[in-house]
Amino acid sequence: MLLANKHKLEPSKKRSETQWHQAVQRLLKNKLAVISIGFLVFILLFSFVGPFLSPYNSNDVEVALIKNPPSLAHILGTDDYGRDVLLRLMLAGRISLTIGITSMILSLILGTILGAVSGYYGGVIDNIIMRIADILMSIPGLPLLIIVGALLSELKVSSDYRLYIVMLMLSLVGWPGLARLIRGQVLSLREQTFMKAADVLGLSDRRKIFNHLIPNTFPLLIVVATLSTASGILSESTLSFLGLGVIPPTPSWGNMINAANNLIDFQKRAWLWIPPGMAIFITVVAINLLGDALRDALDPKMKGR
Amino acid sequence: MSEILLEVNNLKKYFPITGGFLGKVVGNVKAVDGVSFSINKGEAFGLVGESGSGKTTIGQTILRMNEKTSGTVKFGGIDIHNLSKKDLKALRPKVQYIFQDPYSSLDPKMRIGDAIGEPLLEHGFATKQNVREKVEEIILLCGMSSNYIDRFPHEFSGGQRQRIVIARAMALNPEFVVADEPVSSLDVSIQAQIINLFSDLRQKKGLSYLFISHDLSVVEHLCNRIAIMYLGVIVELATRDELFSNPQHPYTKALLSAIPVPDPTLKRNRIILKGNIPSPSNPPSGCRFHTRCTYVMDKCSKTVPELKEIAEGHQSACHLA
Amino acid sequence: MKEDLIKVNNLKTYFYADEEVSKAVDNVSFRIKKGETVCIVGESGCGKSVTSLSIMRLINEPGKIVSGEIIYNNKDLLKMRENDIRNIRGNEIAMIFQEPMTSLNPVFTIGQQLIEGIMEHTLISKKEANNKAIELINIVGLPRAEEIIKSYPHELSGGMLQRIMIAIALSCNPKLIIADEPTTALDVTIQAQILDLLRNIKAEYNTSILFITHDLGVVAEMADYVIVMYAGKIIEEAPVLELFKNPKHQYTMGLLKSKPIIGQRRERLYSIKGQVPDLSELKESCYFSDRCEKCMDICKTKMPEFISESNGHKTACWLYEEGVINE
Repeated sequence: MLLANKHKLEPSKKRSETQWHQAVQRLLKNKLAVISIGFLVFILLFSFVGPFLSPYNSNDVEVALIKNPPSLAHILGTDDYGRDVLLRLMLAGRISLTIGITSMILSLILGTILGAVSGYYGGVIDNIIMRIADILMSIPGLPLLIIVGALLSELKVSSDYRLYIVMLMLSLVGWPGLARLIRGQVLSLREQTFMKAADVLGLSDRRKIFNHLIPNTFPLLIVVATLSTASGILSESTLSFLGLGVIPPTPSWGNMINAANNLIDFQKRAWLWIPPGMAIFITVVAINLLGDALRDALDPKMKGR
Repeated sequence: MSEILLEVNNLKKYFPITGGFLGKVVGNVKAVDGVSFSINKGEAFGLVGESGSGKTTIGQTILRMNEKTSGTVKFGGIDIHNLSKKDLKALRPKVQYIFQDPYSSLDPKMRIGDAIGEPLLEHGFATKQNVREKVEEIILLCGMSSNYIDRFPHEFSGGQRQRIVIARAMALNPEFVVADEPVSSLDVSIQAQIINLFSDLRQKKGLSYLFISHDLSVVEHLCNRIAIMYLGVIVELATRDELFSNPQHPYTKALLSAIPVPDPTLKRNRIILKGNIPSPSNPPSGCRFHTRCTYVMDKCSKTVPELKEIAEGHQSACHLA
Repeated sequence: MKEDLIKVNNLKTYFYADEEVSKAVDNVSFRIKKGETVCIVGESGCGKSVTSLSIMRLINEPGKIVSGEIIYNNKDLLKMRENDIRNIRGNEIAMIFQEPMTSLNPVFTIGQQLIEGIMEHTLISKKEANNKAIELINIVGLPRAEEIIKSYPHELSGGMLQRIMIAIALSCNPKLIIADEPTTALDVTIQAQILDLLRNIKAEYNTSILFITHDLGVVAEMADYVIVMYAGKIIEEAPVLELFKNPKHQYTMGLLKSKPIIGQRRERLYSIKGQVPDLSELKESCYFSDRCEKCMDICKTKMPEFISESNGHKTACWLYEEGVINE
């Protein structure tokens, strides 16, 4: 207010029109954020475009080349079936990232709608939804996923189906936390004057929730979405490492690290498990840093005073 | 003879105070404690009071923005608190409300054009094809330029935002508008612009309004009839000319004399009220004003004075009258 | 002829955000005499609050006092060390803010906060300080001082809290009280009480008051001398009677005309067209030019200088330059 921002005659030509533009500008000024974005773009390209550039195929089994150390032909060596590790790393990236992102989207949609409805209506609806959320949150996530994973193995579910089920399970475990956050925001937003104005204007509940409340939670949503992608990737990796998520032959960063289970591979063939480990590490750290930076960029100044 | 548009009868609105271990109701904030008045079509009615007077609560209860405790509010003969949800929604376009704070009345994430168009679409007053046109019409009517449509609230000043809020309310072509301190948070030179806008809209659109304010000088400019409130009740109600030339209630007199006038040569015969405004959860017995009144008598703490007619179109609630 | 208590010379306080500079206070000079009440009047963004905060050196990032002098007691406040300024704050120069509800710490009692100030600046025992606190509460017109000392801020109303703020301000017998819109957030009958109190204090203790407000009615009641600010600059100043009788600057006249006054009703209120300019986009010109009815060519290109008259009335407007039409 001391900057007399509220006294513009015509909106200043220098300032961008939307708050999003301003937020993006602020984000780009943060060096860590830019580096993180860079890494993530690289990883995405690496995983999704990379395989087309590789001379190898994913299932090229070459017995003669089993477990070769890195060489000019195979930059990251070969694995226990003679497949190119670099290629498998890229393909695994596709799987892990897809699972992470998809489960995030699913839990986002579920959590946002349920959280917003819960916060907006209160009363019985709120109680029911929040109690279900509480129940889900009090069941430890990982053990639950492990049980489901074991079940899927017992039932000999094909590896494709497993993927979808893993995504579904991850989002079922993820939505309660998000719903709580959204509900909290909605509770406070609901008391704002512009919501009361919406009441007086006779706007329908649907409009109020979808056109007003949810858009005002976008800053929170974006941050949570980023962080929950990271957590999705980690969960999937853990599961797959334990052999309960994505199982071979489908590659995933998690199940590639499984190689470290074998003592000899662990000690002597680091090229099998260090690259996937590093890939997970870099991706998750970059996502977390980006999430932090997004929170800063979208923070109080977004309130638009 | 003007028809009566709004009729308020013995309206009470209490807010329960919960306390204790189990959160039971231990008392009530008697925000509005038995208020009756009526507004005719085409009339501008001013409601004046300080904090705790209940003026904002009345404005909101009248439009059923909260549920009344008792009493009736009839709009065009229809009891607004008895309407079904569907009928209430159908009524909304006719009765609009303007809030005090222009900074929080607009959704920061919505473009102005969308914010004004939304109620039009909701009530079927416009279709997606013609909504933009209608929004432009209203924007121009309220003294703004059409390039406001694609902009966001944060790009505008307080005065401009208040115009936008007024435009949004006017979009539905209401018959009656409750304006709650719409100019109190604006600078003097902008206040004047908005006050003029209110006058213009009233002339052009035949609006009736309930103008709530703490500022008697603004109300004098805009309103034909004025009610003075203190601690949940009306203490005086009169036509504008009557009220200012012949104020009867001691509170009204004190209020008038307290207003600073921009004339340093004026010798003020100021009535300085002693004490503070009591809490509406524990109003004084009898006449609520007796704790601060310079003319207080024995009777005042025992019996509640009725709001009775003391002259043509002039009512006062005081034992002195 | 009263002496000067404080003299502000060419004060410039700017605010820096991203690549922009907002000239909140742009070359402001004025003086406050002993025992005098000076009112700075203006609307939002004119720089009046920033001026008062600058005097107390309470400007923080992203703002900065860029240049100027504030002479008090033959010393320049802007060049003093932090410790010395702290000795003056609350002691010789006291300040009252607009929002009494948030000016006090909610977790301490009134008594504790009153005594804190007293003990910081004077060498008396806690018991004596307590007695002084009770005395002060009485001076500001609050009954039942003993109870109030033990109360917490949330238990008192806005008007009572503002009186406590005045009591705290008075606790060390200040020479100057800076009151920044002290009654804006209060009801009008309470405002009348507070203004009355301030006038009594001034009469009794001969304190100077720098009163900041946007309400010309309050100015008429309180001021001995009036300074009108716009967009960071002083555009007119005069003794109070002179300013209201002969306002010269178009902005001052506009402000006076646009205020609705009881008993002087008009069809339409006069309103100054346009808005206050953005302080970071000011060009060399009279800052009021785009809203002025009598704007001339020179107004758009050059900043007007002050024209002083013998009665102390100063105006910064090209209309009053010698040779041009005089109103």
